[in-house]
Amino acid sequence: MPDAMTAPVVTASLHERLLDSEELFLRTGAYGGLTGSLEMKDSDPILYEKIFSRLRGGLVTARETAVNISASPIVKELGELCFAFYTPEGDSVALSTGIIVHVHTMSDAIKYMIRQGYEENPGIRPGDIFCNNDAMVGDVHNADVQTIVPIFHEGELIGWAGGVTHEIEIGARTPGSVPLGPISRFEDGIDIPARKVGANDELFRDHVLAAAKGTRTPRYWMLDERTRVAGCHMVRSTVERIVADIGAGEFRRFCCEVIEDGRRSFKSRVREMLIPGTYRAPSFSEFTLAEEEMLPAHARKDTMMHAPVELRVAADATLELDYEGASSWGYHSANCTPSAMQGALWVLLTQTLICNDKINDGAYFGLRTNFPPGSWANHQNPQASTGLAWHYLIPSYTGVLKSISRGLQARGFIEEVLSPYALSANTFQGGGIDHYGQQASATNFAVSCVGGGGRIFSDGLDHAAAVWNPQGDMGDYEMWEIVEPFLFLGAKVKPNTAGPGRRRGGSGWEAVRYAWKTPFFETQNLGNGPVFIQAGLWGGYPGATGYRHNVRETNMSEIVAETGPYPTFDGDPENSEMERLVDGRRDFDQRTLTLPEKMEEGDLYLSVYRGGAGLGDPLERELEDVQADLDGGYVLPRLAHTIYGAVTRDGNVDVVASAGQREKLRAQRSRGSQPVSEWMRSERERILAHADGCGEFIEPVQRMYAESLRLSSKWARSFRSFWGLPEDFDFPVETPTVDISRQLLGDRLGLAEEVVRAKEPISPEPATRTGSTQVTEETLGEIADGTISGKELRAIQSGFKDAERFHTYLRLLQRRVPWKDRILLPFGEHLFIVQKLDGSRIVKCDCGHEFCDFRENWKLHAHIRVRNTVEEFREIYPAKLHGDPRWNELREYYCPNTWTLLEVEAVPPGYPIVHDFVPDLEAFYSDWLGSEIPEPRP
Amino acid sequence: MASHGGTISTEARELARTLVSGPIGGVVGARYLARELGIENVVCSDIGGTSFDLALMTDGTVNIDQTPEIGRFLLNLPMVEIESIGAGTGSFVRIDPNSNRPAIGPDSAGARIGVSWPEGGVETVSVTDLNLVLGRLNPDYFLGGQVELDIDRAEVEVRRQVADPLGLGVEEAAAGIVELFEENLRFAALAKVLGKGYAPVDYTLFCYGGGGPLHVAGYTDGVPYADILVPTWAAGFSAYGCACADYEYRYDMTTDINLQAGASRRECARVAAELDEAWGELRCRVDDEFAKAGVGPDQIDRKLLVRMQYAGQLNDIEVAAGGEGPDGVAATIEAFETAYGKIYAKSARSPELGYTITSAIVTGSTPVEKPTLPVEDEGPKQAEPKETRRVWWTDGFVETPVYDQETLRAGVEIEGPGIVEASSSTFVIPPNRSARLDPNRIFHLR
Repeated sequence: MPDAMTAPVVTASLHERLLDSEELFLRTGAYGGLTGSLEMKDSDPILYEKIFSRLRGGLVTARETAVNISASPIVKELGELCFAFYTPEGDSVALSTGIIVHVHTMSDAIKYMIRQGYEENPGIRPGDIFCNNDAMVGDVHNADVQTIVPIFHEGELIGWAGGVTHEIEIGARTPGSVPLGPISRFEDGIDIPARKVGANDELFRDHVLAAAKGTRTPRYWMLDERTRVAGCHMVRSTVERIVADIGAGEFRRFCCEVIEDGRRSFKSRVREMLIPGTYRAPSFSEFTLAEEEMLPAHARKDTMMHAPVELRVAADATLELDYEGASSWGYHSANCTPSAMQGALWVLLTQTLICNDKINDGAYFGLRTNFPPGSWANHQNPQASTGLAWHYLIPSYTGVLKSISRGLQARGFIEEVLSPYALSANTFQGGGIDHYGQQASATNFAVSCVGGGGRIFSDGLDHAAAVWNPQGDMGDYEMWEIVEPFLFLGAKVKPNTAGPGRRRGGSGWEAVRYAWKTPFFETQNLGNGPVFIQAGLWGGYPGATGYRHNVRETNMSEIVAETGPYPTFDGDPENSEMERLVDGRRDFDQRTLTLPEKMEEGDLYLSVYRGGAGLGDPLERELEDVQADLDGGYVLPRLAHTIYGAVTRDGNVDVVASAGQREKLRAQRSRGSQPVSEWMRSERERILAHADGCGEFIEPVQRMYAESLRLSSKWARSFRSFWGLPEDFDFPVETPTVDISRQLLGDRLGLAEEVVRAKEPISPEPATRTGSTQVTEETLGEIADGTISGKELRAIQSGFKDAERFHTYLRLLQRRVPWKDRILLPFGEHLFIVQKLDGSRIVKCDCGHEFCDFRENWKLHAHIRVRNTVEEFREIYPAKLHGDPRWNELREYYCPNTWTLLEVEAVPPGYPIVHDFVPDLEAFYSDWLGSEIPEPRP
Repeated sequence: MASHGGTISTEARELARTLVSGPIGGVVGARYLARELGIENVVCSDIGGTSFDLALMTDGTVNIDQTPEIGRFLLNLPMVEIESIGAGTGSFVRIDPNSNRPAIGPDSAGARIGVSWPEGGVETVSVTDLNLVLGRLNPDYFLGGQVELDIDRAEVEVRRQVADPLGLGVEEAAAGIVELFEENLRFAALAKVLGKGYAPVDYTLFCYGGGGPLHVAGYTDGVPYADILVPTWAAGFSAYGCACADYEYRYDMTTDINLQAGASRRECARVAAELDEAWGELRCRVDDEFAKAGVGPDQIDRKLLVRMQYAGQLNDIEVAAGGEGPDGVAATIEAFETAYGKIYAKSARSPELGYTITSAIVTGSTPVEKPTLPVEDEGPKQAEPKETRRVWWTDGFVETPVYDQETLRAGVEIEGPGIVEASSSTFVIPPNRSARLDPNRIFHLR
């Protein structure tokens, strides 16, 4: 590389350096313009690795040491903090463990300071301390507070140390860290939009005093801030020692190479694990404020969020995430900024595609994203609230996980496939007077223990999954009983929270909390009720939604005095324990999102934690697994009968009778479904009726469609053409926030952010790789059947992947299907793309049924049953644990030959049938594998 | 051997107290050795087949973790603080096929050594295989010759799995990865010292464990430790340590004593009264335990300690109390502030929040008979190698003298490169380093 990279650059301003760096990347497609070999890495791979491991080691040590300063249980016990090191231009080089969502948000914050001319004013000098928690600058929401410290060497800025902690309380309109009360930015709590808060390694007194006045729990704030400052200073020392050892020039070269290396490794990983093509998995969520009488009229609305997730894997292995068609931002706290969306994407990728310790912003440079301006995913509104960004962000990313899983299955990496995870809910959160008589506020992090998605080899992880938190650990009950004036009366597996499937989702659970020694504590409910966030894969149903069951003015004191039985769980909502045992004023319904309301000594609060989505047709679930579910309380007997066809006597599954029941259910599928084309005709009429003002969709659903149609002409075209609607078709509702965005953004409204980057040539995969675990056809069969040992599976999951896997998987599948057509691509649990003798490439079921050309949506040629009544939902879920049919429906797609359930959709009425996956077979075979698409079998 | 670092009576019927007594034995042995040699500050380092264990001893005392984590379970059991890193002589070495970057561990061949021991069934190269390729280990004298290693297989696999992907020669790659491995250990040990606000010149590093002597030169290279000690009985050091522990009881009492910032003397007197009462009670319990074994109160050496934090924190630290009475409280606060600033950072001190004393502790110990250090007269500086063999150092093979540890006499000085073989360990002295064997049969590496 030119010496320019190692030479000091003190002459250029920081802003100029940032612009140069961005221009260089756009022009060359490589970070730092490093298009050729990585000199330092190639010539001295050992030195290169040594520097990296010192840097990374310093970051991890800083985190592990500094964490002990914090008083906040979510930082100390649940690991909600993270440190990272950045180049002077703000690109991350290495990071610690922890809430790594913020590695990229801090990058945005550093770049913001540079762009705004902070170098001139207020100045960037050795010993300075900066703080940021503004999502518009670079953050998810106010509760994630960042400390950023510049690092100098002989007067030259050589990088930044950044640290972030999630605050337990942020001084918002309502107490806690994820407040659902705010309807504008001005109610989001402490607001520090990238400010200098210290010099000479000391925090400014005025900042410390002012911030402490901004939160309900100043002690947590103060100690968390010191945690971050101490950690950043430890990172700085590590960097200073490295620079002293190798020199600033070599260090600069290293930083540049390691980011470019990260970019290349990421693309190489995409190429290794996925299939090029287009993946779609829209997700939905609700924000219900219509019944909140305390709010101003413009915010008193129910809203449905639309995330039309489209993931594209380009032929050059660039990953593209597109939210074109997302619904508008709103007067609630679940709006997101691109920074939050990028951060979340990072979290998801590090748990699926790039789960190793060598990641950095290189991965960001290997991605393209489109979060349309004016949508909830990029609100661009200086007044919008983002306090509860996670409430939209988490459901929306189920679509990304689902899409990646389709790619992984098609590529043969079936040990990595995951059905969608559960929403991190219910969030128990509130504030008031605690059991020590002090003013207090708390956010309970049991949300990091929900159900994971179903897996090909086993059910989802029960009540311990945490995609969005650093660890699947809720901390000790005792610790929460110190922080919150609520005792745990009991905690138990919640039946039927897991999404049914051949492999069910991981189960949720529930906790009964008892308000104790508090005169008042305002407590909210926060989770999904009317809306399923995402269906499972290949016939798996979505995880259950939830309900609230809170009892005030109870007779608990009498029960305690008489030592009578008290509820330790609620169980089947249709046969509620809390209702049976306790009297009082009861909120027992599916209003799962409410502003805080008073609770006091003796009141009961039920927290229902959600389950993950299932995978595969429930009628293919092994009866012994159903028996285990019954024994463990994961499924209620009446639903084991209607979902799984299990006939039970005295709690035992009768195998023979169950076989008969399963036949009956299959026959019902045949009778109760119709060809998709037939259904589409009637559905079209239903949609068209809205144009005349006599449509039946509820207002939030209509507004969701109207927002998407008005924000994106591209999405509008595809919606209208799918249903064959007139070009001016629209829903007759107002979309006031779209109008505001139009004022604010003008031409940029909803516009895709097109960034042109150099395409990269791609060379075929090497035939073999060293260091990877070779998985034989036999072992792969054991994974598919779930008979593999845990130890062996774990070794395969954490080992490097074998290059032959795709071909091994094809051989296995080809041996298992009863027909001779050559399989070109696995396409889910029962479907395949095959090469026919006549040269056509079609979607074919393992039963032999042939659907259509692989580029077409096979669902259009299937049979469909739509569940859109409460009665139909109750065949799958207990009352109060399913969505509301006015908000969304469950569509089941069957093979018209065997009546196998091939796919489930959970979408609002009127939603176009989702075309899940269109692989780019040509690019995959010729560019990626370096071979022609195989000829048909003779 | 109990987890807090002392031995307890066989009458104490709590098996949990003996958890991880192996590694703790090493630390206790190091503490004893340090006392015998008059050393106050020690970095204890122990390399086995799967892990690198580190403990820090400052002013003659080791840190106690009040609620250690074992196998993801939090224990309410005081335990000697040991940091364990997944890097041992059996750690696997792989090259990531996507990034083409080396990764060491965290999993390891453990007792199955590596590809050089075909009977072990291991297919992936381990650190031991690299040492073998470099000539640092003797294939015919592994564990005193009890296990025969296949150096040819090691060479073929190191080339295929490591050297070729990196574009380096076999020895070059092996030496590089071993260097990387040792560097990771070096910074882990250094971070332990620096992270607490100390400097390596104030510390002596003790090296033990089966793999310790093999890598100690590498993981101390360039770090200005006061001294580096490698006992000739390094491989059996943990067992040795178990025999070095004092007969010791430790009793804790949870307290909830709050102290405002800038407390008045009256306030300190109130706190002192509460603390003195707690210590008094604990002292009786310690004395009672000793009485059962026929040890009188005058034979017990007692120490008063507290665990303390800024009010509201979740994590406390242990400090030796400044003494009884109100003056003692003031001295204890000062000790806490000093310790806190060292463990974290000065900028993390928060005296304005006030303090909470979370527990009062009394330890009582009485010396027991311990193994005596070997003492022998110093002989000549020179020694005869038993043989020479080709060993790869930084940039090529060098014909290197190999010594038999058993035949070496105190006073001998070995200039690197040199290798000292014993039946259970191999002590490696690279070029530009040297080692002297002292009258206690401990090597001092320079």
